[in-house]
Amino acid sequence: MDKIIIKISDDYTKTPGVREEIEGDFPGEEFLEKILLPKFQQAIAEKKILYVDFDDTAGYPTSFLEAAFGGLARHYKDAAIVLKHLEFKSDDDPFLISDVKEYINEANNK
Amino acid sequence: MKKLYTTHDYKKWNTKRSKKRLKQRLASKAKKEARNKRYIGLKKEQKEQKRASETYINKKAPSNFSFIDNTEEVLNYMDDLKTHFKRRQNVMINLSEITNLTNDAIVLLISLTQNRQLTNGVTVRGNYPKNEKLRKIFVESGVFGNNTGNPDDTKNYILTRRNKKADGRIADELIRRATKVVFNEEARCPGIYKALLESMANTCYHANPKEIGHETWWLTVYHDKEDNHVSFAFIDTGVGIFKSTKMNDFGAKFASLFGGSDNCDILKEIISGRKRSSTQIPYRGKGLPTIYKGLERNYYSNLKIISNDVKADLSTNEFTKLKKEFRGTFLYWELNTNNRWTK
Repeated sequence: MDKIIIKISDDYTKTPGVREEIEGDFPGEEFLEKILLPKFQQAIAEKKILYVDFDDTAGYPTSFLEAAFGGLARHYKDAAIVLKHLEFKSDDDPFLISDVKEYINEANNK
Repeated sequence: MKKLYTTHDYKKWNTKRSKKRLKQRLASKAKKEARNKRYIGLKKEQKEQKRASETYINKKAPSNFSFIDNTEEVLNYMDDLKTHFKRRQNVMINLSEITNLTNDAIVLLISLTQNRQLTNGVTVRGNYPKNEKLRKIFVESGVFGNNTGNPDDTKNYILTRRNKKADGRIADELIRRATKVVFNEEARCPGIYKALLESMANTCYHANPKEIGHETWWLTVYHDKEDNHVSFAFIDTGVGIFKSTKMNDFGAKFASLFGGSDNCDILKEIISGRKRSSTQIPYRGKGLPTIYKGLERNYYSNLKIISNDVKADLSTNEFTKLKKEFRGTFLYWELNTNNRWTK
């Protein structure tokens, strides 16, 4: 399946922030709204995979990842749809991909 | 009017007032003469130094000036300083005799002395340790506002930053400098970046529950070249982990369920991720569990937390209830050659 690629260090920032804009620059909610959600919608519409490359940034706060990827799962109210259309790359931090999948899976827990 | 000045009552009142004023003037003159006698024979600079020291209250710091090793004594010292600030008394922080110093005590001192609300407008002066190495650390720390260290010099022992928001650029800069010391090259530590940003965000969101983004955080990074490690000490002087209203509610519920209200047990619940965030939103509250997870994943070593009446050494799983309460949240960890990093 064809891929749409997001490389966060090039397309957004090398120094990701936390959750909300009020807490600091480059927050996860902004990343979701401006980049992740539009690209994800495009990937679904074009029946493609959204490939997210996490490498070459300073790192990722949990709240950034939860706001962005958990937020995406909350937007669709279904973790399975989100996971089906996403692929990840993280050579810098081997724990990152499992963390992101966990946030997606737990996003709609009450 | 003329009639008033010539009345008996006025003359009597005026005479009494004049006598009182004369007495005051003579007393003041005598005091001034006595004060001047003390400076006879001294040079101008010595006179100024002596005069300054007389107007400051000399507070001798604990010889083991380490917040993580000597927590309660250092907290008592800080409380003493705050008392003098409240009374609007100028304070001289006397560090000349200290024999041990860690950057956690420096960050605590900085957060106090550079907080205008806490210092209440009084002047804070200080002397430096006699020990040459400790003296160099203190001069560079800028605690007394005269940081002479070049901020671009990687040979510096200590770097200090502060902000109210979560700032990734500061975290990245400090990590790059730290890795240059530990690994001899600039590198990235995603785990430390994560811990720093989460700590900053916690300050922004939870340190002052009534006002988001109001509280300042302070961070010092100490390069210990002899032991080849870098220590990060992060502090905010907000309400502390256990003092937010909702956290207090949790404390009460915890006590009713398990028959105790020990904040050590509550902290264990928080870092394990079993306790929900104070926001009560299920997907939030991952900050402290994430920081703890960073220790398990070998992102850093020697993780310690001090908040309110709890001191926790998470590397050894040792939780201590403090007799003296610390208002705020303090986090400490170290980066050494065995920790995870990436180019």
